Formats: sequence, C-alpha cells, structure tokens
Amino acid sequence: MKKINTKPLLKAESIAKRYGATNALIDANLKVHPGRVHVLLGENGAGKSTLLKTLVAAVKQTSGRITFEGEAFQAKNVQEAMACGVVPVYQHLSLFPNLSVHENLSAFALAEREMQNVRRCLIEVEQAKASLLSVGLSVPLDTLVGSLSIGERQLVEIARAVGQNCKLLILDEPTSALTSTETDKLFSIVRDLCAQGTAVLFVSHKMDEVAEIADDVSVLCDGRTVVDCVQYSDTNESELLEAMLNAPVTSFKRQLPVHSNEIVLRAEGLKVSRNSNVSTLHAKKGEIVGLAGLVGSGALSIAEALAGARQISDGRITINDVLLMPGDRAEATKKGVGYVPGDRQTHGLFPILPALTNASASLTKQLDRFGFLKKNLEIETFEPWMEKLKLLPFDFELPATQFSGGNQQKIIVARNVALPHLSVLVLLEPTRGVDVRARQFIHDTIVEAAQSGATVIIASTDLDEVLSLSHRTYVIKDHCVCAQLTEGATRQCFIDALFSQSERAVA
Amino acid sequence: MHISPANKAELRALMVPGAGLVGLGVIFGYLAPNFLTTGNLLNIVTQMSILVLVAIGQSFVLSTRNFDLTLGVVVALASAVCAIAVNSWGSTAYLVAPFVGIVCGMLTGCLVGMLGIQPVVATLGVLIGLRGVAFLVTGSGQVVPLADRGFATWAAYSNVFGLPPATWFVCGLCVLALWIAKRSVLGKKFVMTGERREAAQLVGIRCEHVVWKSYILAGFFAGCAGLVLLLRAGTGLPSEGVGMEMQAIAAAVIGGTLLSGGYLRIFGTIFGVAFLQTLLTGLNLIGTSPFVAQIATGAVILAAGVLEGAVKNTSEVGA
Repeated sequence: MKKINTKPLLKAESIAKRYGATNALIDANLKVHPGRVHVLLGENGAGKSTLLKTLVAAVKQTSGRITFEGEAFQAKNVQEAMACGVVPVYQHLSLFPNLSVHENLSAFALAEREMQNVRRCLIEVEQAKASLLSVGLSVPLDTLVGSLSIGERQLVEIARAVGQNCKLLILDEPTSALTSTETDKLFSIVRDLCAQGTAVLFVSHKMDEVAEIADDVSVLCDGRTVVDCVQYSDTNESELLEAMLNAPVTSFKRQLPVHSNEIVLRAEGLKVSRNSNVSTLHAKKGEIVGLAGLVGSGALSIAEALAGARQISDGRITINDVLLMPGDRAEATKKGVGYVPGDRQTHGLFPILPALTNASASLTKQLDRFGFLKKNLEIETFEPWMEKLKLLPFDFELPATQFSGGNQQKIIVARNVALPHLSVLVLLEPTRGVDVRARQFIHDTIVEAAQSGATVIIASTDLDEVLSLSHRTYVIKDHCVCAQLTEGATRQCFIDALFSQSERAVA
Repeated sequence: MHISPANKAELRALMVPGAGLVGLGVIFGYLAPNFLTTGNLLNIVTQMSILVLVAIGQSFVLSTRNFDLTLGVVVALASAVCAIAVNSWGSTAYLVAPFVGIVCGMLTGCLVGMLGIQPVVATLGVLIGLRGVAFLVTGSGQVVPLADRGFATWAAYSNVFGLPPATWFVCGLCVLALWIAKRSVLGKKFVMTGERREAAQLVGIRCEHVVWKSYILAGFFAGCAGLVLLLRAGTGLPSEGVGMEMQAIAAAVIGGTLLSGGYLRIFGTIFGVAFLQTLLTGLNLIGTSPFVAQIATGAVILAAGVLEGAVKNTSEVGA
C-alpha cells in the first residue's frame, strides 16, 4: 500500500452547515491527497451530499475552512470550482443526450462562444479521442450520448472532466446505476487517473466497493466526521460499518404487544427487480415486521411492493388470502393497506393544503356526503389521532409546509392509521429527518396500530428503529431477504447476518 | 456515405410527415385532377411561406423548452407598422418589419428569460397587449393599404427563376435557420438549455440569455413573416395572424419537435408546415367546407400529439 507522503490537495476543516433549524453538517473534516482514492462513507442523511456541495461551492458552509492547493478555496459557484480543477460527476448525469459525444466533450468550450460555426468551436478530434481513450472508451465521436449505456455516459462525463484539467475528481455514488462489469471498468480507470496524480474523492455506502478501491477512508455520521482520513490498510470493514451506523440516540427497549398467529400478509417468490433473487416473507395479525438493510439494499423497494406502490418483476402478494394487484395503490387502499412513503415531500404531502385535508386525503370516500367533505366528520376522525401524536402547532387549518418535518410526518401517519379497515400498515423510513420527540410519538402510534390488530411493516435504514420496534426483522441485501432476526436482536446480530451471508456468497 | 447518428435520428423523425405528405399527394391527386400540377404545387409553396417563417421561429423557442404565443400578433403588427412606415418613408422602410419583430421578441424574451415569468403568462400578456398596440397605431384596426404597390406586387407575384422574389427570400431565411440549428453554437445552446438546463448551467451556459435570444430570433422570423404578408396583400393587416402561433406549434410537433425541449428540427418543421398547407389546399380543391378543413387540421394536431407521446416512450426505452 502506498504511503501518504504528500500534502493534502484539498483540506476541509470543521465544516458546519445549517439549513434553518436543522444541522446538516456539524463538524466535518476531509483531507484528499493527490494521486490517491479517498472514499467518503456515510449512511443517507449523514451529510455526505451537503459536504460535497460545499466542496464544489454549490452551497456556502455556515462555518469552517476549505483550503485547496494550500490556499483558501475562493470559488463562488460550481463553474468557478470546475475552473479551479474540482470537477464533480453526479449520479444524475449532466450530459446532453441529444448531442454527440464530441459536442458533449466540448460543452465547456461551446459555453464560451456564440454565433460561430460549431465545428470550429469543438475541441480537436485528436484531443477528444485521447480523452475518450484515457477512460477506455472507444465509440465514434459523432455517436449520440443518448444511445450510450449509463455506464458509458458516466465514462464520457469523466473524460470531459479529465479534459478540463481536473485535479480533484469527485464521484458521487458512481456505481449505483452500473453493472458489475461497468463498475470494474470504472475502478480501473479511477486507478489510472490516480496513477497520473489526480486526486479522487469517491462517495459511497457500499462496503465491498470500499475494499476494492480505497486508499484512504473517512466516515461521516450525523454531520460529524467520525473517522478522519485513515489508510484503508489500517482499518477493516466491520470497524467502518460500526462507525457508519453509530447513532447518538440509544433508544430504550420497548414492550411490544403480543400478536396473534394468524398470517395476514404473504409474499411468495417476490422479485422487485429483474436481477434480484426471490424473497418469501409473511406477517401475522398485530405483528410488527422490520425490513432492515443498508442504503441501496432494496429494503425500501420491497416495502413499496408490499404496499402496492411499486410494480414487481415476479411473485405474488396476498392479503388475507386475497391477491394484491402490484402497483395499484387505489386497490390496495380499499383492501386496507396504509402506506407512509419514504419521501414525504414528493410522495406524501400536498404542501399548500391545510393539515386536515392532508390527513383525510386517503379516506375522502368515508368522509364525504354527496361529494361534499363533511368538515366536522373530518375533525372527529382525526382529532384523537392528532392528540395522541401531539401535533404541534395544534391547528388543522395551517398549510402543511408550515409544520416542521416531524409534524408533517405525524400528519401522514395519522392519514394512514385512521383508515377504516386498516389491515396492513407499511411505513418507509417513518422517522427520517424527524426530531427525537416526534420520533417517540410516531413509534408509540405504530405500536398502538399493531395492538389494535393491524399488521405493521417497517422498512428503514435506521437500524435502531427497526430493531427496537419489530417482533421480527428480515435482513435485506441485494434486493432480497438474506436472514431473519428475532425480537431483541442487536446491531451486532445485524452486522453478523450481513457478513456471514456475503461470505457464503463468496464461497 | 457516412451519415452521423444525429442526422439519422433527424431523418427518422422526418419520415412521419414525409410519408404523410406523399399520402396526401396520392389521395388529393386521385380526388382532384388539378392537384398535382406544377402551378398548384408552386401555389402551395407560396402560400405556406408565411406560416413557415412563424413555425421556424416557434421551433427555436420550443427547443429551449418554452413557447411563444405572441408570434401571430407580431406578424400582424409588423405588417401594419411596416405599411405605415413605407407610406411615409419609401421602400427602404420595408426593413422596419423584421425590426418590429426583434423588438417584440426582446420584450417577451426578457419577461420569460430574465424575469423568469412562466411562458403562458408572459406571452399571453404580451399577445393581448400587442394586439391593442396594432389596433391603436392603425386607428381602430383599419387596414393600411400601401400607397405605392409597385415593389410589393413585383416581390410577391412576379416570376424570378420560377418563384416570386418573396418566396426566394423565405427560402433564404430557411437556409439561415438551418445554419443556426445545425451549425451554430447558439443552436447547440438552445438544445442544451432545453434538454438539461441544470447541466447547461454547470458547463457555464447562461441559460436565461439563451432563452432570451431564442425569443428574439422567433420575433425576427415573425417580423419577416409580417413583411411577406404585407408584400402579398399589399396592405398592412393589423387583425391578421389569429391562431397562427398555434398552427406553428402544431407544425413543429408534426415535424418531430417535442414540446419538452431539446429538439431543434428545422427540416421537420418545414415538412410539418408543408403537410398542413397541403391538407388545407387539397381540401379546398375538392370543394370541402372550410369548417371541415378546420376539423381536419385539429385532428392532425391531436394525432401529432399522440405521436409525440409514442415517440417519447420509444426513445426512452432505447436510452
């Protein structure tokens, strides 16, 4: 293993970033050395993307210092950062599918010109070919980018960055859409670039990739750097994983209600994506079943499928022995399947409608008389739930955007627990971005729903949440169930389950 | 011969209106014996010259993922103002028409591009306002006859190398539009902005300026259309051009431009206009009621819309 013997190219010291009342970053540090691959690890919401945004000057940090090549980093926006040699390659690609590879490679040059012949503004054919070659891509220059695969597009984007005199290449979860062959290719290119002296910052949450590519590792957890630029050879996977999952709030063990033995929900031969293995799972009346997995494991996709919010590739889901049409939420709601989506902003809330309308969104059928919503009926239905959830401010007429994240989540939870024939309640990341007190109320409500006979499915990347709330937990990896944990399982059990499984897969 | 994939995609998009055009030719050639005569075909070319310019202008704006509802009224205003100017200053004042278009385009483009007002609101406001201006300058919407029709008659109805000079002028503008779309950096910037605005901003393109310029260009082409209208009618017509901007959008859609931006297909737009004009002329020749012709036009636009959805789906599957 190479030793760190150079000064860091980029150094970020005690970066903090506050958005309103939430602290996205509290104390983040980062040192990236030229010619080395630095992997930044962290779960969703750990602050990785916020840290990246400060590095490319897309957001201004609240406090903290960034130095680049020994001097204070002055870039005011992304263009200036790129001109300095800090080039980000995002998950959502920033190429133009309708233009040719050559035109895409020349995009920076084109941006500076106006009424001129395009051909005279494109970069030299030789130069374009050379930069494509440097990423191991051999496609004709006039190929439309839209006809390339996602992996090839990413390579074009890296080629463009290389042609831009890139000193620090930032790859934000670059492998999330790649096949394993494409990933291998990407890794070998990253190593080549490093050999030529480019620094690479590689953001990821996949442990197996880290082992393959990392020279140095940093781990971010809840806005703080918990592992600061350690050589990968000096550490190991389970150490990093524990650092990554270390949550400051230790939840107390709660008494879960007794459940019956009657199986309500059954999924057989379930495949949520074409390439995944089949999963079989079931849940009983009054039982709380957890789906736990790392980010990208597919736990959320499986939960979406169980709620009828997602098309599945194969398999059948039944509720009380009645087949559930996959991907048909309207039908699922009629069968009493409540669903709290993972992203409340885009999939849950109607931001400018009042809280009450938001809450009653899924049961207008029960609340209307001849097409008119009966307001007193709405209030009667929701007031008890809102009181239990301690909605703050306790004002049903306030538009949803005026509530904090935790209270918005309470509204969505109330919408679902109030369903008249609630048989199954599926919750995705029920307390993501929610403060500790609201988390407590939401958890209480979930347990209460189970007590009154509903089957509850919780899919979350927040391990503590799943393990402390569930009677039984399925461990999800690569979009399928790989192990099962019983009530009272610890974080270590989960980590063991993940690793024993991957060893079995290797052997 | 090597055809680049970009051109191949464009050729493929041309096949639909191309096939439609041939189909119309066959149907009307069978129904109306005088349809497939040189005279009639030239007549179609001349008649479509105004709409073609408006549609090309509209295509530029569409490619940046915006649209412009003012183009019809810009045609009318340009013809009226130009007629007034020619009557007082003589023939050089014909240049006023494109200038009026540019000024209108600058105004609308500023509202949409720089101030970020939604295109529906901005262009609808300007549309209504400009119609008022057109009526005001002509004194309650009176037509403005040219005092000396000599130049106009020569330009619109004489025969120079087989076509009237005004039609040659339109052809020249089409070539200019093709150059901008296919060869100029500006054309690429339209497409980049329309296709992925964030990505365009990341590589340093000032998208608001690009949008502004697309509206100016559209205004220029609409102004030139106003000039052609004035030459052909011999009169400034302040109340003309109602709904022309919609026909222009329709023509562009028929020609394979998607309203979701990122496509700039001038050939397609020209084909789209040719298709619409052939349909109207043909229906007229076989003695169909103009109201039936309107229904047919509407149906064609709807079909193009359905086709747009289909095209979009297949291209997404391919990606």
